[in-house]
Amino acid sequence: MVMNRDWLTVQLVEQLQERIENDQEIRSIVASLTGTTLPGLMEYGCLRKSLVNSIPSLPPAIVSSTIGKALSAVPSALGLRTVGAARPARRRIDVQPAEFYVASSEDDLDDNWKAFSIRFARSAEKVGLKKLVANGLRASLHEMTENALIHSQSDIPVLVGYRVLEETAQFCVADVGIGVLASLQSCSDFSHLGFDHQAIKEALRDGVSRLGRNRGGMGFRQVFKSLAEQWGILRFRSGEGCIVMDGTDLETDRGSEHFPPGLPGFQVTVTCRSRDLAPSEPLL
Amino acid sequence: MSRHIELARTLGSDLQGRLLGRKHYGQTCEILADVPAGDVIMLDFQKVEVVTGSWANEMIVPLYRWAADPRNDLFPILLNLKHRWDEELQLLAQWNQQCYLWAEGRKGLPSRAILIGSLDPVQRKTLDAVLQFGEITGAELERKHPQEGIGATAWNNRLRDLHMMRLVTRSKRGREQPYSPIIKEILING
Repeated sequence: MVMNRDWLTVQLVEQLQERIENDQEIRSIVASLTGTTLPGLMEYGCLRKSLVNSIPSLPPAIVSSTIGKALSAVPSALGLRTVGAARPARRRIDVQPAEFYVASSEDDLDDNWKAFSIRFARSAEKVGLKKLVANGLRASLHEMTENALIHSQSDIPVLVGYRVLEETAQFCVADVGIGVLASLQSCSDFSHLGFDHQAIKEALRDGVSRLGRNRGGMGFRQVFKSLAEQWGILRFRSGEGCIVMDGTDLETDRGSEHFPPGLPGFQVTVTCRSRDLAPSEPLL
Repeated sequence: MSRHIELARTLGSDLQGRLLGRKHYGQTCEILADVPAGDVIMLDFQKVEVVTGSWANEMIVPLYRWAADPRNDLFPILLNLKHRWDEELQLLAQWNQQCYLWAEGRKGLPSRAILIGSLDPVQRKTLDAVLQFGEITGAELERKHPQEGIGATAWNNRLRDLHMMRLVTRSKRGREQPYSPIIKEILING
């Protein structure tokens, strides 16, 4: 995995969060950033929303990057601007390097959403992914977004983003709702769960949702299916738990877990590469 | 009689998500509202590009329950499903104790189908008997299988179970209720 100290990665977001908890300054670190990953930028937005005290604004290098410009196009509490109108919705399905969508309810999964998700699939194809894989990723994007809208129980709209680069397509769905643990605990089938990482692992299994066992919970199946035989990286962060799977063998039980500082809601990042090529920039 | 529904044309080519599945379930019930009881409905997935488990859980599962309601009494067949979707349907069939008939074809009733879902040995033996003899009653099965030591009532109970699962149709013949296969050949574990 490419590491770059000047990049806003998910790892850096976790480190910044630890520094904030320890009353250490982060301003100079943020000011020196020169690039960002998609999940890094989105988790930074979730962190900003979750803190009582404000955290530094991101430097021009981030805001003017491809991902930064795309995020600036939509008003989002988790994005780079919280007010103002969204740019007119694109009706065309032309390919994009990066794009974001804000959804506050099921009604937002409308024709604009459909065009957005088609652009994602077409953009993924353009950088070298097979059509079947691109369409599978598009279905995964839909499932993860719908999951967030149904289960997050948050007034803050869900932020969805994608980006593509050299044989790689990536999307991220972020909410700052109740999180996976609280969602599953609301069902008696899962009231025994006590930790965020346990809840994430449970949620990744077939048929698991807060509606009960085998009464839904097919969304993650689509994610795993779309990455079958591809080189994928899956990252699921909720509360104080984080599960990462990397490679072609994306088995829930084999994912690595770590315990970052608590972040509300659920942040899902799905990365798909057509082969194990070294990325030119950090992906997470 | 049978009714053919092209899902790509009526519902769209992307059948994904729980919310859409719920909406499509309502739409499909409305489309089928005027179909006479006892008819076969062929849900044709030709030209459909995406089917997700979440969609099927909200559309296919309740549709089979709706079809089994005596007021509707319809017999769905899933036509031209792509093989990559069968795992989801197998799971749903298992979770909901349902069975689905999956066939290929363009027009008219297909002559063979694959069973998605599982039957216990007794149900399987009963279905085999219906497929072998065509229209048959519980009393006739008792007479044809004396070595089994199973009475007409027990055979009738098994036939009723298969009827509830939408695998055999039921008609009236005087005081009898004979059961018939929907399709001539069903591949179990196919």
